[in-house]
Amino acid sequence: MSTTPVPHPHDVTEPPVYPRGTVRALLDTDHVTPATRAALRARLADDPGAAAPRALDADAYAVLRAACARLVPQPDRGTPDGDPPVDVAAMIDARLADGPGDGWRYAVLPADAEAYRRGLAALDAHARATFGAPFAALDGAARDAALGAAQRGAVGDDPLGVPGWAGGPAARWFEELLAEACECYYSHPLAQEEIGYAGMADVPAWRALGLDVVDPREPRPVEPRPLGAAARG
Amino acid sequence: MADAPPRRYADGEVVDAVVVGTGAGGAPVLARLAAAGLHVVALEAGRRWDPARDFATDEREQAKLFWTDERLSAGGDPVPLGNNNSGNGVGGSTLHFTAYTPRAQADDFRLRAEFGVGEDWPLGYDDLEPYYDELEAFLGVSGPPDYPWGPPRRAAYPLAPLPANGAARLMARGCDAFGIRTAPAPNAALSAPYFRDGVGWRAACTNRGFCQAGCSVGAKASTDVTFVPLAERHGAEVRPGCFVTGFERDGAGRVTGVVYVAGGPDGGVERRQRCRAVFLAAGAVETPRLLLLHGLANSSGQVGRHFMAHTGLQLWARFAEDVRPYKGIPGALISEDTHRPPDADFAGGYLLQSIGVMPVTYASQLARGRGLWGDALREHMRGYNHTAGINILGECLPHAGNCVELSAELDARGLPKPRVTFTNGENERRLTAHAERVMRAVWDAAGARDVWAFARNAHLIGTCRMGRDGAAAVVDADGRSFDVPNLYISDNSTFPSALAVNPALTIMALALRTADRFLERARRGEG
Repeated sequence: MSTTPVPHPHDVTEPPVYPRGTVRALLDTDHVTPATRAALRARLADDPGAAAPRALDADAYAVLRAACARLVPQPDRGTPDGDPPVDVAAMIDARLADGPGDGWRYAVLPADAEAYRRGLAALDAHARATFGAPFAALDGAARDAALGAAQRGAVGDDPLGVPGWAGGPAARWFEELLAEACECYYSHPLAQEEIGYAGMADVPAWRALGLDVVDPREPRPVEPRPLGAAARG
Repeated sequence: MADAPPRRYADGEVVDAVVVGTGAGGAPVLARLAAAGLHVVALEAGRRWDPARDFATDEREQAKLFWTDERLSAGGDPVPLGNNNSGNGVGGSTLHFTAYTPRAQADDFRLRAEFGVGEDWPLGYDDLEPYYDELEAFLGVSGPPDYPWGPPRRAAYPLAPLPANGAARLMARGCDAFGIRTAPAPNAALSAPYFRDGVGWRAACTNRGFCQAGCSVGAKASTDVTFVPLAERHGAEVRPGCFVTGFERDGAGRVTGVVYVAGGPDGGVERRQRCRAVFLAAGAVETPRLLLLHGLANSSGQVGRHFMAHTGLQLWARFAEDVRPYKGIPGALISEDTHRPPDADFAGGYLLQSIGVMPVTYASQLARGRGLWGDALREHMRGYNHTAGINILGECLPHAGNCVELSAELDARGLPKPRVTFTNGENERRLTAHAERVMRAVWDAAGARDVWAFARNAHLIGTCRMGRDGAAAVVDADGRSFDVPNLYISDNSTFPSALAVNPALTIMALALRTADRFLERARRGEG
């Protein structure tokens, strides 16, 4: 083991780009257990936007969809020859409808479904008061400004009767929204392909455990990138 | 021992003991009492899992392993609950513990004597050492041949260390640059197939990195594949799907039966199991909640008080090297050189560990800790495969204001939801600041970029402290209630101080000791 810092072989500037289809290809192999395959296939098969919301009403759901489109933007998806977008808002609504929750909540917030209703209403009211239009009708920059205000806890005491949201609760609600959006998105096989994750293909045992080594079934970046040495299979 | 079908006891039958919970606190008690020939029943709120069939290598699917009855988290530093803590199923939170099993050091039990703050334990390292020895052999702990810290060991770890993954190699590189000693961490996950009487063969770890969301191969020594099968071989009955709601007591105040709901909150049936003694092993939230609901065992006023949660600052960084943080035992490398740092401006100390991470967990922490969203979020996450972390596990002093209480809100069973209040004190803040300086230096030396700190507290500790004086503690050193002589507590709620190590091994050691003391008392004919 070296006793001095090891210099970088490369600068860390560009994150790697992985090929499409890696997780989907692995799902057909014996590298994935039946339980894992069932969970990921079910998630892949969910039809984005096919169902009406069940926990939220149409207005709240429109705000949620518009917010998720900015929190986890997917301009690279939904093109004719591309993959469909991961429907984060639909995953959140389904979780609110079916439960269970994650076992806890900040005491300053009401129960999850009610917190979403109030938070989304406050966001919409903030948009109307600040930009003169519903949140879902705003352009991306204006939606980002409204979401940024929520993140800072600056959304609240609005004209539509959603009091008590200024300060901590609004920021905590935004944190919960963002965390759940992230958890939904990165649990999806398409997002896992994007980041080169292959942990679901865990049969047989992983053998390449060091630095800059991968097992043959792990995805490698599409093109040589200045980040990392060449992976060996 | 001949195979025998597990016993089934009738509710009206008076069993020797009911154990509430089958995690690190309950399962060892169950096995010990059953092995001594006692008639014992475990009531487990969760279901029984078949890991090979039921556990997916998928974080979202595995959310089913966590305690999902809602708890309220309050205070200046509200502690995340759910996946951060309690488990759901036979095995309790050992189903999702990281398998990290360092021993506490001797001075961990004497914090007040050493620093004048915190609390001393009514027992010491010598009392637990034989149990540590026994547990490491029984569980099959993988560890280094010469562990550099703590008292001299009477036996080596039974198995060689698990392989060092990317994060471990990077942390070793950074620590070497500063002369910080490191060692492969002791982990209760098998580096080779392992046989124990009463348990059989367990398979070796496949490096799938998924300890915190359920081991599907049985390599991790969760109680569902160790103490529970051992207990059942000795005739214990494990009853899943049974949520304890109360107790029956006689005129003298002794517990004569345990009241529980079988079959879930909707359409469940209330039943009672008669018993001569009860062991609460439901963890540092549900154990005090149950006692508070009935005003039981609380003449000291300490039930629910002095809740602690380890300081668990994580430092994440990006490296040029391909790390693949989903492979290998998550906590592969340890250093206890910071157990009592010479330049400390705080009481106690902490350990350092390397950490791997699964993508959903990492993304969630990125959201909560760094607030990244939009293009910046997706850009950062595309570097996931180049991510590694270092974590501390540090002392947390028992503060009177940190507590578990009953809230005014009712759950699906009509019982008050627990509210957990936690705020880090000055000592925790100073310790964390010290650790952050050390870890940043280590990561800089290892070649890290884009280093960011995720402040967190983990492990639910305290709330039913043990002590020598019934006026100031809930149970004595044997885990026995001062108020109700046949009520015992065996879980991390009895810890008077947090200890600067992960709690699972010490919970199990205390559990075995509590069971042995109970058996000695029974042999002497004391109730």
